[in-house]
Amino acid sequence: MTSLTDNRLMTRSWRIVLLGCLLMAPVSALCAQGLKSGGEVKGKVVVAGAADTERYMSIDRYGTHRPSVTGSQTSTAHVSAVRLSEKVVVFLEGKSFKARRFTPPLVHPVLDQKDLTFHPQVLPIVVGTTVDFPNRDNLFHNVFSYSQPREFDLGRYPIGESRSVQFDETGIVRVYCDIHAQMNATILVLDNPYFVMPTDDGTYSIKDVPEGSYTIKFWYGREVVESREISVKNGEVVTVNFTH
Amino acid sequence: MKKPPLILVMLIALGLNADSQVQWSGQVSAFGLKSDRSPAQRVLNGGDPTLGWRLDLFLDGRVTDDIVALANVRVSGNEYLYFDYVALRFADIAGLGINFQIGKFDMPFGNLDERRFPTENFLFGLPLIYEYRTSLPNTVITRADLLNNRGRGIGMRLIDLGVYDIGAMVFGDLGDLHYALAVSNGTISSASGGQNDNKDFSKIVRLAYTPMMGLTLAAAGAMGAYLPNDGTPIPRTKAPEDYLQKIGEVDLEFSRGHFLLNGEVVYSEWMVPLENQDARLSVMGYYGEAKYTWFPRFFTAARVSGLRFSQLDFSGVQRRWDYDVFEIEGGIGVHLDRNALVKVVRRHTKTLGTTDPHDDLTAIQFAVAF
Repeated sequence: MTSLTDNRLMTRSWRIVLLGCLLMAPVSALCAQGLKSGGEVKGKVVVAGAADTERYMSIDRYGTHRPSVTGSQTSTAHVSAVRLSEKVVVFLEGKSFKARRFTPPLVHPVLDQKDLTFHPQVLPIVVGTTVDFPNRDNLFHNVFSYSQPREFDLGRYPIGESRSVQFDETGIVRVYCDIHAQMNATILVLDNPYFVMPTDDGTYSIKDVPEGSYTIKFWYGREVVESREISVKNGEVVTVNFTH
Repeated sequence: MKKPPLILVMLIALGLNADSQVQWSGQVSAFGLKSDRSPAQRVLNGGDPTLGWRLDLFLDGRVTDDIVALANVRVSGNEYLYFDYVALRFADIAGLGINFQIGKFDMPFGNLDERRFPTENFLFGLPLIYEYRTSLPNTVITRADLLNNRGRGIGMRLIDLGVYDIGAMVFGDLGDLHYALAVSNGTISSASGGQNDNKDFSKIVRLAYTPMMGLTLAAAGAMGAYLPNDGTPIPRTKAPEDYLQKIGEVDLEFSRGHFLLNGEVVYSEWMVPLENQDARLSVMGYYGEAKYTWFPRFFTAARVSGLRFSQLDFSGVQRRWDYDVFEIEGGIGVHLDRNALVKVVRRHTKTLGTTDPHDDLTAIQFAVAF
C-alpha cells in the first residue's frame, strides 16, 4: 500500500529525471554528432602463400647433457601456430596525431610466451601503454630488447609468472628471448590508437577516424610492406585492400 | 688443413635437395690480450701483447623429422680447420623416446655445453679443469720425468677441452631425469683425434635431474684405458688396457632472474706404470662461475677454479705429482647488439708449492654470432 507522501516523492523524482533528460539532450546530440564526424577505414589484407604455421629448425646440439627443454632431441621442425592475425597490423600515421596525447588503455596488452613463440608476433600499442609478458611455457624464457625506444631485460622467470614494461617513446621495439634464439616479436609503439590487427580472414576496420589525410601502413611480419595515402571524410567509409 | 669429412659433403648435398633443410650459423670472435711475462703455461705469446681470432661454423642438416646431421667447424689464428662435432642423431627410435648419436661430438661429461663458445662464455678462457695441462702425459713416463714435468703443461687436461671425441651414445629423458650412456675411442682426459689407439673404449654415464625450473643437478662417471698401443714397452710387460683412468664429477646449473650460476667438482685417478711399480695418481678439480645482468646489455661475471693433486713418493719424499693451481677470473660484458658482445677480462692464476710464476692475463674479446 502506497501512502500519499510516497506518491508525491515519486512524482517529484519523475520531474527530476525529466529535467535531467532535457538538460542532457544537447550533450547527447553533440555526442551523436561527434560519432558521425569520424570516418571508417576498412578493407582486406591478403598475404599470398602465407601459411598459418611457421616451421623452423632448432636443434639443441648440447642438450644431450641435461633434460630436454624442447621435448624433442631433434626439434627438427618446430611448428609454431602463428595465425595471420598475429603477424599483420594496419595503422594510420598523420600529422594531426603528432600534437595529441592519447590515453593508453587501462587493460594491459599481452605478449605471450607460448610454445617457444611470442604471441602475437607483432603487437601495436599506443605510446604510454604497459605491456604484460606472461610465461606460459614450462621452461624459462628471458625476454629482452635492445631497441632504442625502450631497452629492457626481464630475466628468467617460470611458467605462470609475468613481467610488465611501459613504453613511453614511439618506435619499433624488437623483442627476443635470450635463451631461445628463434623467438622474436615486434612491438609497434604508435602515437595514436588508430590501428588494428585484422581477423584471420584478413578483414579489418578502423572506426571513428577524424577527418583528414593520412598514410595507411600495412605491416607484415617484421616490416611495413606497403603504404598508401588516404583521405578520410566524416561519415564516409574508405576501403583499402592490401595484397602481399 | 684437414680433408672435409664425409658428413660435410652430406650436409652440402642436403642443401642441394629442396626437400631437406640445412641451416648454417656461426660466430666470429677476435681478441687482444696481454699476459705477464713468464714461461708458465697460462701465459700466452710469451707475455708479449697479441691479437687473435676464431671462427666457428655450425651446420644443421635435417635428413628426416627424426634424423639430423650436425657439424661444427672451427678455424683459429693458426688457420687450421678443426672438425669438432661431426655426428648423426637419430631421435625417438622405434617410438621409445630413446635417442642415438654417433660420430664425433662432446661426450656427456661435465656441463660446459655452449659456454665453450665466445658468445656464450661469460669470461675469456675455460675453467682450469677443461684447459690446464697436468704433468701426466698419455704415454709411459718415469717418476723422474713426472717430477720434472710439474707446472710445464705438457700432459693431459682433466676434461679435455670439453671432450669432443669419436663415439656413440644413447640418451633420453625419463620425466625430469635425463640419462646418457656413451662409449668413445679416447678418454675424458685424452680425447681421440682419430681411430681408437688401444683395444678399450671409454664407458661414460651421465644422469641429470631437474627438480625445479632453473636448477639442474647432474653426475657423470667414466672409465677407460688412456695409454696408446703404439709399441712403447710398458713396464712389467703389461698391456695399455691394464691402465685405466677413472673419473667422476658432479655439477649444477642454476638460474633465476638475472642471475646464472654454474659449478662442477671432478675427481680423477689414473693407474700409471712407473718404472718400479704401478702408482695411482689422482687430482681433484673444481670451478664455480656466476653471471649477473645488472641492466640491459651490461653484465659482470666471475669464476674461481682450482686443481689439487695427490702426493707421490719421489725418492722417499712425498710430493704432489703436479703443482696445485688456483685461478680467479672476473670480467664485464656489454652487448653491443643482440648478437654482438664485447668482454673485458682479468685473470689471476696462483700456482702453489713452488715460486708462483707471473702468469696473470688481461684480455678484451669481441664476439659476434650470425
